[in-house]
Amino acid sequence: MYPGPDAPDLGVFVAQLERALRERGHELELAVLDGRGGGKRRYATLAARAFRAARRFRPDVVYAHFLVPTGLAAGLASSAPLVVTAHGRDVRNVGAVPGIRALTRFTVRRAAAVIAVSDYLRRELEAKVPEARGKTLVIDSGVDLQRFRVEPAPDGEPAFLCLGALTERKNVVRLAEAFERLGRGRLTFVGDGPLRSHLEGRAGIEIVPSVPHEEIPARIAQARVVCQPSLIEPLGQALLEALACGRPVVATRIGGPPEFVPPEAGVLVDPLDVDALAEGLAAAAALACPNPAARAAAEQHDVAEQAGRIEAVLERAKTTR
Amino acid sequence: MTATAAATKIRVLIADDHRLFADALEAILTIDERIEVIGKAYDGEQAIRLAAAEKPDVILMDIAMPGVDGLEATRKIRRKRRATSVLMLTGSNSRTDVDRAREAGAAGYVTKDRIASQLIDSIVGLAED
Repeated sequence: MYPGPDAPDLGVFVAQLERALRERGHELELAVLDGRGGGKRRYATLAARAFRAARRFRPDVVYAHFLVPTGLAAGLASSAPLVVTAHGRDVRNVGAVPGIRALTRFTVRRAAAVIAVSDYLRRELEAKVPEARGKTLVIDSGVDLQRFRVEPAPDGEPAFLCLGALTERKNVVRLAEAFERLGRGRLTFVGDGPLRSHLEGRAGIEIVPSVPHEEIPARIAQARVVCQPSLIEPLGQALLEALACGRPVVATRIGGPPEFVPPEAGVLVDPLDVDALAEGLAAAAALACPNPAARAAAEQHDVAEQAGRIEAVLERAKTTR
Repeated sequence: MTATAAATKIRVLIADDHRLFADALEAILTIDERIEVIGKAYDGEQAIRLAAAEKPDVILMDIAMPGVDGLEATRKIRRKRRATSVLMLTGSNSRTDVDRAREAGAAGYVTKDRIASQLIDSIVGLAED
């Protein structure tokens, strides 16, 4: 995953880490998929690109994002020490998608180190893949604090914002129901997906299927509260970005958000409880905005700092050659 | 064994029950112009059938597959067609795996974590023998 001309939002975290590692003086060669098309064959294409790149570049370390298929392809394409970041779906697929467990175990055995984007994900990975125990560290992809800056609060009734795909996992229908129970303000969904028709036509709710990636900070600035009450959120990148903009959040308590959302800057909710979700919206709207505690929490996840931590893992992996 | 004259590619069959793995192998091997992947089998039975039908020069055989595993498939293939060499793909270079592969008739083995550095050379080496 990497931002491309037709998918500028794809793997933005990879591109920002890439920039940060280059700024720290490292040479990087990329083997990436920068579009969404291509079906399952695109992973074979990635393996071939990685193999070509590794032959040409002769890396000290190969760093892949997502265990399978990307980490698998990287592990086959080069004999250099492998570091892989697990992001969530790759771990969820273990045991859920036939054949993935064995390939994930191979990838993790092959890896010198595994990075999980939250401690929640580390625990899930280590429970499913015993080979990950003792070699998995927690480092999230971080947030670009220059790009996501604190902005003044919008005027008027509370504006709620949900960034992400309109899917079951993102719990968007319950969020819409909770908003209706709250009975004030407006709710904007930025994203598209199979549940779009379940959200359309509801009073006070707007759906913006597509927003240029560079406009996301401005969208967050127009909101008073950013909501991500997903059924499970391995990290919650949109929440980190919202906190960086000084916005209070309503976040799922399942997954990574409890690790970085402080009570002064957000409300953690049971994603299945619509009443609790409605109360969470009201409580978050009453929090300070802009919210100093939110920005302070995000500053703990500065992408430059995270790149430094990843750099240390890559340096250690290099010595295992 | 087919000679590796410039115009003659080494015809390779991949046998691995993990499709993503087999697809990635195919993609990597296809980069080398000396090699042609003539098919993929996802279990031992299919490997035996494809080996008889396609007569590959080299088979990359996963040692562990459900049903007929790579060892049994290798025995059956080698019994019928000595001109096909089998390169066993193993999870480790444990003595047990290596010995079992040799006993089954494999000409060599490559551990899966050494594919990038060893697989193509091993295939070409077998084809040149």
